[in-house]
Amino acid sequence: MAIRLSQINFAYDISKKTNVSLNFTLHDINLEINLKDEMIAFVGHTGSGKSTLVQLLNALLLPTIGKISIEDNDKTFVLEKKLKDKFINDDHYKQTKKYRKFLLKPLKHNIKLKELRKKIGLVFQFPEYQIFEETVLKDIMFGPKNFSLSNEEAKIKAKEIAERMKITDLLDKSPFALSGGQMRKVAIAGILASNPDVLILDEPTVGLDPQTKEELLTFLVDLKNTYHKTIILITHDMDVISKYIERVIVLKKGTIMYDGSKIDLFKNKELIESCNLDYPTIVSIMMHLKEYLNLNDLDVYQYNLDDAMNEIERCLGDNHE
Amino acid sequence: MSFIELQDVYFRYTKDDYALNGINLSINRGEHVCILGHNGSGKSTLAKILVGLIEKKKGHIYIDGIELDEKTIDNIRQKIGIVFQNPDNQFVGVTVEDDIAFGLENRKVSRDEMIKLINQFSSKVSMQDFLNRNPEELSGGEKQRVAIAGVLAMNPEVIIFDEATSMLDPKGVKEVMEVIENIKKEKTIISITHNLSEAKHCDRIIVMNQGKIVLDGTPEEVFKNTNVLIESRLDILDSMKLIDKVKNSTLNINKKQEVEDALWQYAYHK
Repeated sequence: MAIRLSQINFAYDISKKTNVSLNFTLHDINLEINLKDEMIAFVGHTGSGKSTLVQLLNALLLPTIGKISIEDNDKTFVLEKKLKDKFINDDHYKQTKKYRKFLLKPLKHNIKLKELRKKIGLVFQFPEYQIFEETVLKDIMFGPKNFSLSNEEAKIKAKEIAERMKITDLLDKSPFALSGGQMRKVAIAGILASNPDVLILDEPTVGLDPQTKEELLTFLVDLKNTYHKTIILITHDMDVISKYIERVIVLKKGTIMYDGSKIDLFKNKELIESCNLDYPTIVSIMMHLKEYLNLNDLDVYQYNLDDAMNEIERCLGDNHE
Repeated sequence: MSFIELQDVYFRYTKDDYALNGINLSINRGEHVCILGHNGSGKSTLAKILVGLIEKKKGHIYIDGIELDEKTIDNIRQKIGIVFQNPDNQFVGVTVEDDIAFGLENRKVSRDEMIKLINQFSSKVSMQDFLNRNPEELSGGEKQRVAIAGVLAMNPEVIIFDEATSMLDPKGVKEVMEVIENIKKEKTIISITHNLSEAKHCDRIIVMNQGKIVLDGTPEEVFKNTNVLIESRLDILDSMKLIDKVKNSTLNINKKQEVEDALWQYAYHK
């Protein structure tokens, strides 16, 4: 049960004319994501390719070159367009019209893209701007109906998900009468109603107040723990990552720079600096204490306040010589 | 009378729920004031009232000695500029240059003068190399800087930033904060936010909750009132939470003081 990306390259706007330059947004991406039980963050600055990558994961965009395979129970689905081995390092070939033609050729796949989109749900940034139905209930039902459920089935699904998200009191309201945080929950409910295995959210906490933000993140963690979903967040917020995320994928200029645990990432000073990332607030506070008070012995890598306090006591306490 | 003065101002969107519930507030010329509050605390309503986008139900508002009402509003609007939250909702021009020029055209500024002003203010926000670009192609931080240049070109005395950084990535936030830092000597600035770490850069913080002002003071004074901040549903800075823990720790009194000082230093300056 996994989705695997092998040697994925992607370019927007490919011209047939060889004198128009070719800009790849993603370069040789290799990545494997389980269809259950993962909590992943994609990190990178504007232009790093992270939004393109998540759109490839749910087939809103298709790779220009490369292979995506999805193992689901006993079946394997494949989307593929392969460049012949002999051409991979052939710079002369890459100047030709033939190469442009190859890039523009459609990709072969043995899965309906709609099926794939149902498995992997994508919540865009500011999803509240995409709400359009008269009532919250109708808005949540839109997705499942689109994936060919009957009106009645869609209604049951929508109510189920509303209950899980604790928004049943909103169902009869007009979406436009809701607060920003409520609207965002409704938009997420709309995607969840189609019961995807993987839920991808682009900057889901931006603009929310702290309390609403925490509610939303706790809900997502619960989706993973209780319903075994895989949750992928695009986020810049290192505090969100240090508190809620397990695996971090860092992108820079269309390349994966890092794929691993958050703890190893925060200890990798060189990478943090070269990708211009922040430290989580608590780590940054501890770094300040270490420098300001000359505490060479202080272990700055603490991820919650209690651990930070214990470490300060260990380092400065009376038992410490 | 202060430059901006609100006396017993009330406003409500629905019958029984006051979004502003008796606001008394004075702001001096040249002050950088931050209005802090959670979603729905009334802080954005206050901004809208000040720029005349909505009308108060009760009370008096004076700006530069003139009472804000139907007769004076056009005059007063020229004194106040506002930068909104969503960078995508404030563009009218096809190019950055057109966009900065838009307000000036409405004021019938001559062409030579206009070119001069566009150059001056696009440089002020470091966007002088983007004048021929389409605003759509810019990053969030760049868009907000163009919006600020457009507001500056109108030469208002007060600029309100209504959650102007909340939709930006960290780089964009930094860019906009630098621009604000850059213009605050010349203008009266009112920043509206729910982010404490942004608020610490201003001269004075006003905390709102349920349509009322619950705290008013320097960042140092306001940050010490952790209980009121929590009641107001604001996210307390981690450095201040840690100060609380240090106070209750087993460290001896000298060490406690040392660590607390270092943490306050972090809270205000980092």
